[in-house]
Amino acid sequence: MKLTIGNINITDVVLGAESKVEGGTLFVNPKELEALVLEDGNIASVSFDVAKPGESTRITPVKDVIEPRTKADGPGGMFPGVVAKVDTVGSGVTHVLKGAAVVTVGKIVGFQEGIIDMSGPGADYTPFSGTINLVMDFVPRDGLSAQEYEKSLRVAGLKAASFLGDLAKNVKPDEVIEYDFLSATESMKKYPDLPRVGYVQMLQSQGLLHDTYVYGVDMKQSLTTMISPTEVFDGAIVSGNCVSACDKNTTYHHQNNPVVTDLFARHGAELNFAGMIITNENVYLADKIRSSDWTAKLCEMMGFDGVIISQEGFGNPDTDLIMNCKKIEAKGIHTVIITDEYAGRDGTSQSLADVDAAANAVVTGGNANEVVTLPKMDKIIGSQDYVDVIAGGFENNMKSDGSIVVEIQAIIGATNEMGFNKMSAR
Amino acid sequence: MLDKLLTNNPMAARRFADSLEVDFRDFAAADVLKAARDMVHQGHRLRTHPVTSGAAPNGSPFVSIVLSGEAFRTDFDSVSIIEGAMALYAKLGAPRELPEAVAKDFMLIDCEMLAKDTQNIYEITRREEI
Repeated sequence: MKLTIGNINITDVVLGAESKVEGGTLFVNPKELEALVLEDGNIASVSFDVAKPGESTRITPVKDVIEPRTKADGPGGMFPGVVAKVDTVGSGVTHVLKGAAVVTVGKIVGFQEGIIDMSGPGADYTPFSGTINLVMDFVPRDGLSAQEYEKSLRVAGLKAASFLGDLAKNVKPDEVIEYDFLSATESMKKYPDLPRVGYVQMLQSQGLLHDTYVYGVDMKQSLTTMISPTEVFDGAIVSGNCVSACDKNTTYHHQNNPVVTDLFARHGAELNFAGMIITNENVYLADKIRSSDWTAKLCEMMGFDGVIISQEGFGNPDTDLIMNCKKIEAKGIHTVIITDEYAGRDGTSQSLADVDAAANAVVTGGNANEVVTLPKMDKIIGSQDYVDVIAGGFENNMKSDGSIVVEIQAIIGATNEMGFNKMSAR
Repeated sequence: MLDKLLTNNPMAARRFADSLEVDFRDFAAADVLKAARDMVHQGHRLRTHPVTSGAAPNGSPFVSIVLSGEAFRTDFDSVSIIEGAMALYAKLGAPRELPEAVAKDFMLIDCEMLAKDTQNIYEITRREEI
């Protein structure tokens, strides 16, 4: 499958009377977006704000971050099965509003979501301090259940990002990148001497606020399966997941999956990017066993020489990670796992909840228990009501000078397990 | 024979009263894990992973664990997983007292995880309509 990505560099987002993309500026008429969002009767109201890099602004509690994109040419539409009709995406031309993001905010349950600081020390931990964020803060109708609220917020964010992306359908991109994912036979003929490397992406699927959707299907209801890596650039995988902030994969992460882009970058030179497998992280052990069996089986059937496995979340999913690693290694296929650590605030405790000698090549996104002081921000978008009970927060963590002390697990994307985070030993 | 639900979550105890043999314990989370460990040594198998509830594993005061109703020979995978969970809770420390509304949210998440996966195994699931 051949996909051309056209990046349109966005240098400013302005709320105004007309929605359009012109001269690198994304103009948004909030009334149009509001009308779109309020089509869903479960949302009582929505407010809009723009947060820019370097500003003294804190956004919390963040549910999802989404990059505005559109299909400029080729089959299907953005976020198939959720916003667009079900149709295979991943080929043709996709336009991206690079530098802009939609951030959805809402108090779904009391302890979830996370923080984005646009400046200060917290900004160093999140990639979304570097994007110009159109923030949508939602108020649900009275009596809405947490389940319905999550769904409404999830879909509203995706609809908004799709609407904004569509504004750039006919805008000439500033940068063009081509991705070509070959069939198994084509790639074997073309690169017979290169190692066949696959990617296994584990998707969080434990339940309410811990779900991921593929073409609209709740991933916990799927067996392990294969996907073209180009499909993820078109929103085939979307986040319905709110925890923990540091290592949840937002929809933006899926749209910009760095394992996929890096494997493509080395494809044909160092390696043959031979396939992508998606699997789930369920609660029942029988599901974990079945899914990891299936993952190892598919890796073997695809004839991979090596596999990169990325995780989402921590604790329970460590078991899925290690099962996948062990079973794939047992097939004689080398693995590298990408995870993060909960090694205690001093970093000296064991990092993972499950381990095995087969996991002999590990990339870490960082220690989620690391403590950071976030200074007072002049502007709060959303609410700080929950920063003490949020994952990574703790009692009396709001100081009299307005600063808050949190573990970095409270910061969106801080220890991302696809390697999209900003911490590095490089 | 119904599977057993060992839980300190009153919402889960009510919700699964008909589908599981509920063993409600008004214990702290770490003590629920210990009770599950004892059952594992008696031959009950873990059906669910004991570390759930998202956030940080020690963020939630509620733990619900499904085990086989029937006791078999001791299952070493179950032993390893429950011991790992206990070590994790010991490392991270006990969950703290929470405001009532937040505690209820944790109860709900705890229930949802079991409910959705129960559906996955036992029921034909419905695709979301566009």
